[in-house]
Amino acid sequence: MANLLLTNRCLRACPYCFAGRELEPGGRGTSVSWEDAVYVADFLFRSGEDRLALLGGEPMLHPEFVDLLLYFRARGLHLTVFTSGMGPAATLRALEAHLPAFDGDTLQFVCNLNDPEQTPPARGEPARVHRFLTAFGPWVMPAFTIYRPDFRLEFLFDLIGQHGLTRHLRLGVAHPVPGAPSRHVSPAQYREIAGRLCSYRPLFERFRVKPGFDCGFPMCQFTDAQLGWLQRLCGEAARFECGAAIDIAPDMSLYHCFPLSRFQRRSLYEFDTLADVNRFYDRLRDDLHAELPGIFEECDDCIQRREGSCAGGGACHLMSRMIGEASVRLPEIDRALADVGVPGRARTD
Amino acid sequence: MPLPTLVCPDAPGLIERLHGRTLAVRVDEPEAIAGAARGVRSSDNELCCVICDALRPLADLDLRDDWDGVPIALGVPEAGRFRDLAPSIPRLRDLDLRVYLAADRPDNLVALRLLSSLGVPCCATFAGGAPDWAALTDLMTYALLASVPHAPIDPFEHIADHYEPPFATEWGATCFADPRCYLHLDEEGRVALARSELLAGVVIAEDVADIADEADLVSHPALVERAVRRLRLFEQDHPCARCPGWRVCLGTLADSLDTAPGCAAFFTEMLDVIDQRRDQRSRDREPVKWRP
Amino acid sequence: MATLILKATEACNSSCAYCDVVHKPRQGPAQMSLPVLERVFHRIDEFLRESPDEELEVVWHGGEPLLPGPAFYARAVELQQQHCAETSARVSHSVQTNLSLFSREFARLFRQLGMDCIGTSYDPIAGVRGPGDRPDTAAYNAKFMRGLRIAEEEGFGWGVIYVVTKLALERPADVFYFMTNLKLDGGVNFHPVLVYGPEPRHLAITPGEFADFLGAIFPVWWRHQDRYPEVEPFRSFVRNAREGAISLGCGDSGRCSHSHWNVAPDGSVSHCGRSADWGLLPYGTVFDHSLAEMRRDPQRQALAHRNEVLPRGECQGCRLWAICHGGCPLDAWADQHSFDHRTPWCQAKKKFVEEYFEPITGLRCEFDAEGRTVQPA
Repeated sequence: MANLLLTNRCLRACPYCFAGRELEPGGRGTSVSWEDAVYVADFLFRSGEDRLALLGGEPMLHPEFVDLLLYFRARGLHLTVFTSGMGPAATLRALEAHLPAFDGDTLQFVCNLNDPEQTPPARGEPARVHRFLTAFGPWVMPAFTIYRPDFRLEFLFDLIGQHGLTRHLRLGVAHPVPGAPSRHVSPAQYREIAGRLCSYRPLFERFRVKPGFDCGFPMCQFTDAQLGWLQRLCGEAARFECGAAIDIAPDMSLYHCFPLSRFQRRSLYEFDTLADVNRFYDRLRDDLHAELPGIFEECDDCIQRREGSCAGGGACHLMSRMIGEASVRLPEIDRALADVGVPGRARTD
Repeated sequence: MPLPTLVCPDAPGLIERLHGRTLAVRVDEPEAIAGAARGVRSSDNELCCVICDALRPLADLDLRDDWDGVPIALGVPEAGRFRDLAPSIPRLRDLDLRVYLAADRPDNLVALRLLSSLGVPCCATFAGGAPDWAALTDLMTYALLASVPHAPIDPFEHIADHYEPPFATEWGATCFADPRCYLHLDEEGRVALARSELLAGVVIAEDVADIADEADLVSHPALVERAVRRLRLFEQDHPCARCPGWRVCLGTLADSLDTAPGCAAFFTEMLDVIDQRRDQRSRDREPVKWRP
Repeated sequence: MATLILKATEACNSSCAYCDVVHKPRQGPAQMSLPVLERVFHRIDEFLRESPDEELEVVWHGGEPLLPGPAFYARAVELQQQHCAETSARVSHSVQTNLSLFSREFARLFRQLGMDCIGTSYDPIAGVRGPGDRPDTAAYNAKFMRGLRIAEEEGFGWGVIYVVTKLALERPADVFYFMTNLKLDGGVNFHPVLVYGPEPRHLAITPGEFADFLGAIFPVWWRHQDRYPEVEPFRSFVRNAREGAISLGCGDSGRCSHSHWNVAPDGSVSHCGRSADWGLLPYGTVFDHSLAEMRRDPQRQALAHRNEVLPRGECQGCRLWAICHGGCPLDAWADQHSFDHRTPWCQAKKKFVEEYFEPITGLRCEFDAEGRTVQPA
């Protein structure tokens, strides 16, 4: 699945945001044009892909968000909207009015929610999020980004019950942005985080909420008992991946994921299909892993990593570690680093 | 040889007087479309289509059940907001209908692309002011080269399909403006070569019966004069005469050249795009059928 | 095929700035008389009877060949029927006209002569062509277009020569698109203006300038040959480079020595139009010599001799010899007052081939003695 950033404008300023310079917190931002929206739909059709994730910034800030949503649906795409829930009131009203156009599972919202105590919201934010969740609760999968080991999930279970959100919690960890300061979780904190997550076992079980991991969690940070519990709860083995998100910016530039947005940035117009894009960014990740198999020393010999059941943590951590080190890397990596201005690296041809 | 299709008003008296003709009936209101079609079909004339220049956005129109089976040329000033149009898309696709939008409005260029991408045939018209030629070039390139299935956007599709180098391609017929294909009648049955001429009272015959056959028409001084008008561009060394895009324009916009200075680059690019499309198709990359 | 250039008149209703026919001092009558015309057809029949394997093309030329009017051509039709009853199948006709006087009556008569195509010339640049000392281009253009429309309506094909003057050097692309738009399916031929005297200097171009003019438009033609077919000299260059020296005009063929007659309005015969204009190669008149006799005129040896002299002299080792033969002998004479030289226009060809044609096409212009292409080892 590809992610299309409808706009790079965002109303929130989350302390852990790893979208970095891709977003324009204030200002008017850049929005996807209709011409490019048609192009993306065509591109996905050509790729045999019928799913599209719409991101921002805050995608609902695109002035024609509802129209775009309906257009992509009319093109036969199943849509997932990643939102803060902070859409303009008029947009939410229009969205509500057109919700019947989306039958079955053709539209889903993933709403990234912050703990109001640990991440104090801006003025007016809770009311707006509340309005969104009230209107679209059954279409909303709650999501939470862990950026401190003492995170708290209680508020989420409240919201799930209060608004009838889907009982699947999407959990991500705050990633580093290589070469730029950002608040993130270090590899040393993962075991503590795994333990804290499993401490919410009673709530997960009582509310029948299934956790799912966004990319970057290493499997080894969970005990066998914890993994067994997760599998029983979810009905399937948890996945510990780090794949290319394939983010398409409003100007149709393309990158692996937010944290790696400065590396190997390309244009969508350079590729014929999504498979071509995936192959391209797989190579970037393979290059990184050839140099550093994973975020821990133990990753070198880890059988789960070799067999593909764990990615060995996020590639962004690997890239972060390489920045500032001596130039002994693979030429491909050095070129990627040089492209984003890391000193002492060989320039691209 | 039969005469061209007659574009006439929905005037029962006139239609009754005509026999064995192919008619494109013009109505003022979308609500009159089905009735006009019935009127022609109940006469001994054949229906080409019903032409309606609606004054409301496409999204605001009621696409009535009785439009089924009626070929419709539907002119609208704009498409309207997509959210309002979206519910009509399946219906628009099912009807035998082509949407006409003036190319001089940037939002119409977007609408043409959206409609095409959703399987609704459409046509850009050039009667008004100067379009954004760069945006139009982009639309034309999409129309002719996009490998993903989409409905035709005329006149680009028509030109690309009919252009046979080295010869030039006429495309006025896509909007009923080629007298070799369409003659225009008023309620009294007077005949003009173009709608604009009919509205200005410039008629070539008081009655279509005065034009015996196609040969009579082809040699008619008014039609000959139109050909001469084209040669006059050469006579005057007009910029159109030395335009690289002449083969797919033929000076169509010569009168508005001062307000449309980008047309030469546009039509020149179109020739190259058509060449590219032929290469594409010769490599067996025919577009597959539209979906979903 | 033998070619008989028939100057129906040396008068012209246009006074194109570069034309040396209308400006030359005239001694005989401007228009061909009917007795001369009759004698010509008599001579044509006589020639074809004596040479049963020959065919002959009559090129109606001028001046403006339509000036004598339809009655003159009606008489030509009658005379051909009368004198060439058994040989007319081997006679073909063509005409080089400015079209300004073309009419449906001319169309009917030309069809009777078996013509289905008309040769003409045009220039959209003001001040070059037209009647009067200061050519009235607007009036001329209107008449040309009228004639052109009649020709097309009457089903005639046509080809057009564009004479490249100094004025065209500033806008080669404009000229190219204009001419190929006017004649969509090709039949456009670009020629350099040939200015022999001191005037008109403002129109004269050098061979190098002509090569650069061609070089400016050649890439467009090369890229879009299906869009602009039959544009000369490009098409011939490509054909010759690919297939050998097979597509050559009279000036490049090296074979004009025994193929041409030019009959002036008074019945005097010379080799070609230009030789007649300059008083060169007089072969007699249609009244006192047969075409066959004039074809055997020893003066023609001077032209044939050129093919022996040049390859050993000025053209020795030139890889373009097979498609050039030193150029038109009359051009050589104009430059050096001798046929035994190459023409200055050889340089135009060489420059165009080396600087534009070969680098752009990747084709190589190299031929053996028989004119076959020679591929580099």
